[in-house]
Amino acid sequence: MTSVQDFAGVAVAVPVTVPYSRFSDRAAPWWIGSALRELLKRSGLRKEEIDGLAATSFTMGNDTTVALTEHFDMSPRWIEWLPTGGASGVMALRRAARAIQSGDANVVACIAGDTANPESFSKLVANFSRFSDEAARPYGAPGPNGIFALITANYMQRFGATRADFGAIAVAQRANAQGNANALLGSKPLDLDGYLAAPPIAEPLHLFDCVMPCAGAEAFLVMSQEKAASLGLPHAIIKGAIERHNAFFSDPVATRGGWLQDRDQLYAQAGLGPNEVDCVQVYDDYPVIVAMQLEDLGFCDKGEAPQLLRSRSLRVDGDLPVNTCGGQLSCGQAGAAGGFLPVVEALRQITGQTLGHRVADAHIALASGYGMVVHDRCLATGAVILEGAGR
Amino acid sequence: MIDVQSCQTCGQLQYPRRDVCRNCLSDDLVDSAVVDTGTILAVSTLWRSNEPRFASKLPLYIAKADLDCGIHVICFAAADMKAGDKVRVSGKLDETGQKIWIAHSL
Repeated sequence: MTSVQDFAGVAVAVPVTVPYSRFSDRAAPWWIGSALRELLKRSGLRKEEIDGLAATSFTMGNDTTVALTEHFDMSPRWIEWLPTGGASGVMALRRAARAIQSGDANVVACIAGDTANPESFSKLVANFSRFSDEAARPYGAPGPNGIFALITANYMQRFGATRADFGAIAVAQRANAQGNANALLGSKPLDLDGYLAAPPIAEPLHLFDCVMPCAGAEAFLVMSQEKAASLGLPHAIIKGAIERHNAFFSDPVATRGGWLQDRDQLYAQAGLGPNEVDCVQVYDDYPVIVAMQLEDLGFCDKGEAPQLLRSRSLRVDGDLPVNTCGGQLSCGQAGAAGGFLPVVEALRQITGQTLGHRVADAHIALASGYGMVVHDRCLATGAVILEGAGR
Repeated sequence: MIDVQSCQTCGQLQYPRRDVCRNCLSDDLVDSAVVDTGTILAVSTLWRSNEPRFASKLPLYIAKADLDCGIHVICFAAADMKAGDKVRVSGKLDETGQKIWIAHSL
């Protein structure tokens, strides 16, 4: 394999969150357009200076990024559409970075936004994919809850994890959400007893293992470091980034994801190891997936996340800060924006622009993504290591 | 025995159904009768459904089964089934005409 080009010269800047809402009468382009408006306001750029647009949404029907260009009167020379949900943030960042390096774009706006109403979620899960319609939906139409219940049950059986281990994740993230005004559940304290006493949804999953669907948007800008500096924007550089799709497809039940296949390359490209990462922002559709990412990204060995969770603290002030804004488990899952949340929160932490609490001296952050339950696991995975640059 | 899509070119069995072979990409696919036994890997009890047609049937018991023929399927299970149980799987059509798998204790 030829060595992968680095991401030298690329800056990631202007983390934007359009405040989440449990339900919304607005359509997805309102959420995405509001994020774009905020990106312009905070960067000082004019709309005409954004010549690249990468977008994702689950609630735009058949419309994609190109339809958004007409909606917003933009004429970009580079666009990207990322129908990969939980992995879309890392993937947008990787693609935008290459567009900057090649000169195909000067400034790329990366935006994820979704609306939410009582119909939108059931419509989404009902026709999510052909394999799902044949091989998952007929079994009680459990949506992702049923799939991840089986993955969680298998993980518990194989590795000796208990509900309390997963509870440690949910409880730590809820504590992290306090102080984050955008976390829809941030003001509702959660302790382990409360977690364990929650009603069952798809056993072994109970209420606080499941994210709450909501409306919202997350966004950031990608440009050259030179440009970010000239605009006076606090920004991060990309130390390394990976993605992998449909990894380990022969595994009968997922116990690992694509991160495991490429993590050595990720850390080699970044020139550092997991111990040098100040905070970790992982995709948290369910706690078991948080555990899996901690293992596959090298914070412990496979099957040892339960021990890690018993001995270390995932809180903002803990020895392994994870999902420091509360994650989707406490903020809500704003559709595809949930896939941008790890990247945006990583950027916030290392550039000193947090909505809630900041990890002391956070300088290096890892963000990872996981998306698209086409059948019985998510297929798309990716991860990126970011480092804070000039303030 | 159960019917599972198989490739006439390389012998690969596959589920869910595909338009070409997942292994060799041949489109010479037929349904073949294969052995119907397997092992339960994981079980879940469903207390919520996204569709009203299942509401009156809750809780529902589902499982992931690793079949001896080499495919793995989500299936309906019995309330007392657990990981490690040996099962036989049968197929039938549900009220919408969709083929479903049901695990039976051995």
